[in-house]
Amino acid sequence: MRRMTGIWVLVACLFLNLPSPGAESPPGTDDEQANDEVPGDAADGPDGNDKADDDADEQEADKQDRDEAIRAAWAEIFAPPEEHRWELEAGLGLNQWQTAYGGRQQRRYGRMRLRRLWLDLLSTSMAVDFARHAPQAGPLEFTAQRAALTTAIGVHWWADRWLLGVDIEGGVLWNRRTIGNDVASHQFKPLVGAAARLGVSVYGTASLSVEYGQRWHPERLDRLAILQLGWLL
Amino acid sequence: MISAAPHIRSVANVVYWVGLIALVTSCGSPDADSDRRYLVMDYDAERERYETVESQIETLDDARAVSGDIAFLRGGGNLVIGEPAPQTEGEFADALRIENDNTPRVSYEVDGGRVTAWDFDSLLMLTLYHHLERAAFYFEEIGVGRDVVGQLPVYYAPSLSFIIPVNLLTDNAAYAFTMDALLFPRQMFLSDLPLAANRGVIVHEYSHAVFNRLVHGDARAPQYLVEPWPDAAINRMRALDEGVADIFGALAVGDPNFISPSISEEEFDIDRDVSRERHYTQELERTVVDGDPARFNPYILGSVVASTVWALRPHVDDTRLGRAVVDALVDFSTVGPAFDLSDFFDSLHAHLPTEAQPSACTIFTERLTAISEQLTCAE
Repeated sequence: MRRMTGIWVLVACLFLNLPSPGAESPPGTDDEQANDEVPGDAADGPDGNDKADDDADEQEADKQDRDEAIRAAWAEIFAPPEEHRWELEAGLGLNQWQTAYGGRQQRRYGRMRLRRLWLDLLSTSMAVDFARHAPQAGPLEFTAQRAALTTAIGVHWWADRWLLGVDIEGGVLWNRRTIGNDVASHQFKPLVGAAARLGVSVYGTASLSVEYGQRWHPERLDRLAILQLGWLL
Repeated sequence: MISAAPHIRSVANVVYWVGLIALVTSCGSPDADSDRRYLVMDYDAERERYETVESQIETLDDARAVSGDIAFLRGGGNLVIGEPAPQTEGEFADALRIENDNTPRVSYEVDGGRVTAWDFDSLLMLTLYHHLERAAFYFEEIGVGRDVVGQLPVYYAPSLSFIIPVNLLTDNAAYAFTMDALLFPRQMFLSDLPLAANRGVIVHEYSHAVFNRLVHGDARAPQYLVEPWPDAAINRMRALDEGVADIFGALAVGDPNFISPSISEEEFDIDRDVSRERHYTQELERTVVDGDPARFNPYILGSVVASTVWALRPHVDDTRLGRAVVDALVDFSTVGPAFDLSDFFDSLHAHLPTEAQPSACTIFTERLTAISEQLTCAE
């Protein structure tokens, strides 16, 4: 990914304390230094002067190339959101999950998703979300963990800084349950779902969005709402 | 001419094998449901604590809907006030109802004949039915057949909200006589054993249904709500109802403080330990006589009734004691506005084994000082 290369260049610049694109050149790195040279410092003799000039020119060219690469990297990072092709999202949400008695209870869950945009409109993604439920019930020790691995396909449209998207997803839900000293049991169920998303980009490199969807798995229909932070790559 | 003998033998062979297969499958393989063991939360009297145990549930017809001879569960729903100011028994029957309730869909797995719920509510609902069945069996032992109460509707996690969508019905258990139903709202603030898993609490609530049948004739409103009874008689009747329910809960489980696994005495300042000695003092009698039924706390006098009956255990075994209490309640099917608690204890004394009666009279006169002079045995 070209964006990733730019990211690593930026990281290298930060660690090496090199200038960011558009900033003034740090002192001592441009012609000022050459102008400040004290007469007599140059290598003696006419051949020595030519060699020194060549070395200086080469260094100057290298520096300009490096500065240009840094500027390009910054430009990529802070490009308009629709020019980014990847998005890594992480969020926390509430699952209004359908209980065995027919009512709904709210459970917190977390999610990570990696999304790829195609043709400025279509999107495909993979996500993992997870939740844990351990009610306080005195001697009744009950723990349930759920994780879902899903793939989704959808339409995501950037209008200036704003994003509107719709996904349909499918995947598998994994349940793990422990009661008291009972050995944990596992269960896998298929799931399908749909969600709508509204977001905004931050400086072209991050996104903040809310998403609401419904997810069906055998005998249950869950409603999920999530607030997520995304990194546009 | 073709002989019919081979064909007849073929048909006979088919009939033979079909019959043999049917015989083998009907006798060789047991009924899967009746052999199932359910993982539930139950009280271990020896260890004096609640544990997950495997137990059979004999009367459960539909495990997924949690429905059987003893009760059928309904999930969720909103408690709605129908008749706001009921005056007649018919109006009381419409006073409360639950709307938008659901048939439960319990999730469970069956492994080697053991049924284990997949989620917390499924586990609680199966445990709840198990305890209801045990309550019904207990009352059968002490002379109240299953048909007396019949199949009870049980509402699991009903809610109540006024104007704003915030549930006000939580952390409790109740028998609603107007609906002839048990209610177990969701647990939101208590962090100990859920009430729906507390077998003593289940027996206590089931006892109210038994009291309703034996004393109030299965009416949707007790007589004191539709007839002009004195406040004192109403307070005593309500206290007797609670006291008897506490004693049945304690006897059935073998734990005098059956409520403590769910509601901590220290945390909530609730003292319902029936083994603690309590007295029916003149001061308490004044609160009964002068108390407004709308504000009267029946649990204080009820705990006196329960602890007095519990004190008889060294002199009579638990089953006979339970039978005596049931027989005493049957005597109250004709109770009127002149009802006094001494009438109940007189009846109880009469139904106790002869060898236990002197000790019972001593206990009654020592603890029930406010009514000791009215006790027949003390004369």
